[in-house]
Amino acid sequence: MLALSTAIASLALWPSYGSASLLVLIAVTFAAAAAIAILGAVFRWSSPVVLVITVVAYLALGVPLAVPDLAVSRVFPSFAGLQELLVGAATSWKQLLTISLPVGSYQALLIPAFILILVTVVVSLSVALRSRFGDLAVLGPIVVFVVGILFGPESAQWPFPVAMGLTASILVWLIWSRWYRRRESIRLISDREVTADGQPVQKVADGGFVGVRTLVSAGLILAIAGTASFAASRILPPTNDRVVLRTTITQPFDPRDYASPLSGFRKYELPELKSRTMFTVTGLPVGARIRLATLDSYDGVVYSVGQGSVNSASGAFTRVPLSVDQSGVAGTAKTIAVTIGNYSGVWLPTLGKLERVAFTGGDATTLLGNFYFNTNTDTAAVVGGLSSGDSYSLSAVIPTQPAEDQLSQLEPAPVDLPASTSVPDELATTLEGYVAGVSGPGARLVAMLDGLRRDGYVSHGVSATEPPSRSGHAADRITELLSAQQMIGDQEQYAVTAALMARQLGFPARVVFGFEPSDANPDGQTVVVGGDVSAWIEVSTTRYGWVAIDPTPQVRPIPEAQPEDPTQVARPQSPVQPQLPEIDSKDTQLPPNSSQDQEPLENPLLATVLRVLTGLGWASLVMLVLLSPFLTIVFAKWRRRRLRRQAPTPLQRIEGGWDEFEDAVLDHGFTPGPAPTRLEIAQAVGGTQPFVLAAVADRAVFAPGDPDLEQADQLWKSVDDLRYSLDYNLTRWERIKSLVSLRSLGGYSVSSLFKREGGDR
Amino acid sequence: MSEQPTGTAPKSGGAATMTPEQATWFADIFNRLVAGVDQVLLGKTFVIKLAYTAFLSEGHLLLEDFPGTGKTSLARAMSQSVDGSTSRIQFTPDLLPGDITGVSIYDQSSRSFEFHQGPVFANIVLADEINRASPKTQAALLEVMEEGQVTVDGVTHIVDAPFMVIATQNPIEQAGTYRLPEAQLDRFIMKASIGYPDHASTLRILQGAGVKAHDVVIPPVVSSRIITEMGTLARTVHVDPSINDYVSRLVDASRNSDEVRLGASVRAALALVRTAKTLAAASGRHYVIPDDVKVLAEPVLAHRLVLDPEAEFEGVTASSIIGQLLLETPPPSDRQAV
Repeated sequence: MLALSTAIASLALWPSYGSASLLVLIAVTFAAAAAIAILGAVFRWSSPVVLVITVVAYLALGVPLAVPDLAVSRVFPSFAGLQELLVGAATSWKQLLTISLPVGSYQALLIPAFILILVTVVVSLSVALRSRFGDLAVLGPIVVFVVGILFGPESAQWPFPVAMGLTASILVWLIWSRWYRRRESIRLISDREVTADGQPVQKVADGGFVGVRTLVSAGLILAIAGTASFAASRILPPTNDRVVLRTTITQPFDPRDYASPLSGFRKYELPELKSRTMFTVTGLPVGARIRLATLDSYDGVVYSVGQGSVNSASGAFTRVPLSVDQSGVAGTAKTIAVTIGNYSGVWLPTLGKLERVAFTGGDATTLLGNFYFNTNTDTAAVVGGLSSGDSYSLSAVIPTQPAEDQLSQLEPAPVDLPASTSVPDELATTLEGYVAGVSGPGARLVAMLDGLRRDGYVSHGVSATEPPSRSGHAADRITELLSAQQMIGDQEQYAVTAALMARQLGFPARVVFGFEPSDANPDGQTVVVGGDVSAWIEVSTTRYGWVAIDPTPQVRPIPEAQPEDPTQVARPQSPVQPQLPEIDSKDTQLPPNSSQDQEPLENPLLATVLRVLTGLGWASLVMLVLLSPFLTIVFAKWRRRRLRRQAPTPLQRIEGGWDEFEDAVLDHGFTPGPAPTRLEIAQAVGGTQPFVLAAVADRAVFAPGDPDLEQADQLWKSVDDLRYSLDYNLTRWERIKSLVSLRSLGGYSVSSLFKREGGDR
Repeated sequence: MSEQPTGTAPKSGGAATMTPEQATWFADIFNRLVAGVDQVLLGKTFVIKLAYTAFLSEGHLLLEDFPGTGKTSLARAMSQSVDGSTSRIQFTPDLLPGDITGVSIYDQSSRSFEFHQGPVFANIVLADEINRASPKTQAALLEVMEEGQVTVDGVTHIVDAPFMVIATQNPIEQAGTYRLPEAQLDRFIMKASIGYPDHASTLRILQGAGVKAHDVVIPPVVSSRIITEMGTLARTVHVDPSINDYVSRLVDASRNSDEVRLGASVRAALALVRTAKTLAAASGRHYVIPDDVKVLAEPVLAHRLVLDPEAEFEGVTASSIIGQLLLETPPPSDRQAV
């Protein structure tokens, strides 16, 4: 039963590892731990001896099972592996929480699972075999299950079947254990009787029905709890994710700690960086764009990475243990080698859809340890930043992209993105002008791009020969771009404008900041200089996924601007106050994902009270669900008592009154023996009152004539007194136990089939 | 116990069943009878109650016990307490039926055969070591036990009422004995065992060792007429149909048991109900409860079961089977609709 329960509980570890190595680890570790516990029980090893042997097993089996990459021939422990094993016993727990799941057998991250299985099985089996309280061994699988969940992902995998399976196996385990102990006790008693009296052993009533009753009771509890949980999951507002340790752990890399890289766009156009080597790339395909960061959150000031929260889809950066699975991406696989020159910053230059990164050079290990990746935005970062001389090779898939003339056929694919806020009004006005008369989302997108390319001019505004062009992409800068006499800006402004317009057209869009070398050399080294800096947009489409589009107009001469008309039109003074601008209720509606939709209440006291009430409400609900099986039992007993007390005839009330007392006797742990009469039950309880009650009930039932209502009422009064008297000298816990005991309910539903013939209880 | 056994049962007022007052009167007499014999047979109240239950149920008692446990004392004390006659027959292999029933002897003076009553003509007959007699002699006792009469030379002689046979047999000695046939065993309403007294009772017996058992005389508690009246009254105790159902299920279960070759007969079921009625009245109740049946099941049913040889070989006893049947057959707790 321990093996079955541990196997079911270990399913909670699967989402964290998702690898065959885990299965091998569980099987071998369970066998080894079971052997230690059994040998310890057989040879009566003391606890320190068992501990030492467990540590030896940890060292001997740990490397091949938990750090297989460092095992010699994948079987024998190596020195480095042992080192990792010892250090990992302390550090691997935290690492498991700060890494992207599943981790497979990456580094030493299997150590937590190894320790968990080894320790729980040794302890549980030792407790089961050697302790007086053998039933406590069930805590082992429960610990495995709970720790597996706590260290696992936020999304539950087969939660209901695993939980119910574990509960069922533990209940069967406990029932079997109880039945076994009972059988052994009976055997011991029987043996003792033979020795003492020399009489032949009389048959003892078979306790089989007790097992059936317990099993039915356990099944009933399971069914009630399962039904309550299932109903609760339907009634309560659905929550996608569960709260685990990972939820509360702040990931080491938080993109919000860093300024948006797009804000520093213009610095790369400055003379001191424009022609300087940022980094060199070997094997860069022609026309490839190098991504530094993907920006998907616009708040009217800056376009940034993962603005929503650190746990949002685009803001959660985790470590990548192995490779990122890009097998589903249609495209061309490429491997490039990058050597950092004058570029510095946390954002790692990447290409396409990243599959694997291998750092080279002296700092390779440090860089790998600081490497974080966001799979949603394909943005990579190295905590501490890159510096000159850092190098790495990178495997990626460059997704297939539609040709320019296929853009009009694109259809938007819904993607959950942070809401854009403070979008300038001019954007909608200009967009309306571009897409007027055009239908179809792809065609409207192309019309928008054509409009920008047609009206726009490129100027970085950094040299004296260029027309002025303010840097930045805040709402006022975008307004200026769209409302000025001449639309002048560079990739920074055009990418932001195009992304915001595309979103208004229904395409989920984001801005990508990176480099676009003009003279890529696929067979050799490509030098990427500051002047290659670029920004483009990506729109989500149904057919191609994220499609990269460069909305920046071609560089072309900028015509002279017409002088602005200096004439001021004098408006007549009016005594009437201008009407206040009507607030459009639609405009005030915030998008559901907006960070402003949870505006704090003005009254902090009220807010606190509300928060406390909400907490209390949830706590009460959880308590109600947890207590539902017990409340059901109490209700069933109350209902049964009511039916008995209000039976149609006095005789039935008296019969019911006795049954009520008998059930109370059973619930209080008395064992009158099989097929008892009323007097035998009274004898089991002891005292005069139960005998009187039994005699009165027997007289009412078996004597000629019918009892009257007064007799029934008197008997019920005695029953009530006796029920309360049974509680005397009991602790509070014992009273609660008797209150929720299933023995009488079992008798009501199951053992009545065996025990009582007929009767209308 | 110096009280003279006079009095009569309270009138039932025309009711067909015993009244609570009659039950109280019955229990009072019964307890006085038991208390009387209890002075002779120390610490054996239960067996004494069983014996009187059999007596008042108009049945006969088989005592299977070792020598020296007080069987004869019991029989004598019972007869003394009832103010009736008692006789003792020591059964031997050469005992003839006429030695029990009596013989017709030719009287020369009257020139006719005169019937000389045998020892069976007494209120309480102690048939000691009944299994030592030949089957023919045992059969002669059978007729008296069942019919309450003796037929000699074509003439029927009615035995005194009340009439009860207390037969004994030794469970150890088997040589030179004739095992009682099942049919004859079935005639005994119950079988009991006195057993050795406990430590305290043994001490009391030893302290009174100077007095011979035969010297102890118990004053009569009731007359034979009262005993007959009590027997008649016991038949009127109310038995709920659920009790009859319980008895029927017990008897059925004995027949269906794998370890029993021959289960309890209908006569056994009737005997169980009859004795339960007497025991209920002896407890001051005018109605039978399941406990009466449970108490009497083993004494009334066990000696009627014929065990399967294999089960017998494995050490299963009739008593253990009845005990098992009582554990497996739930007693009634509710009144059964007629």
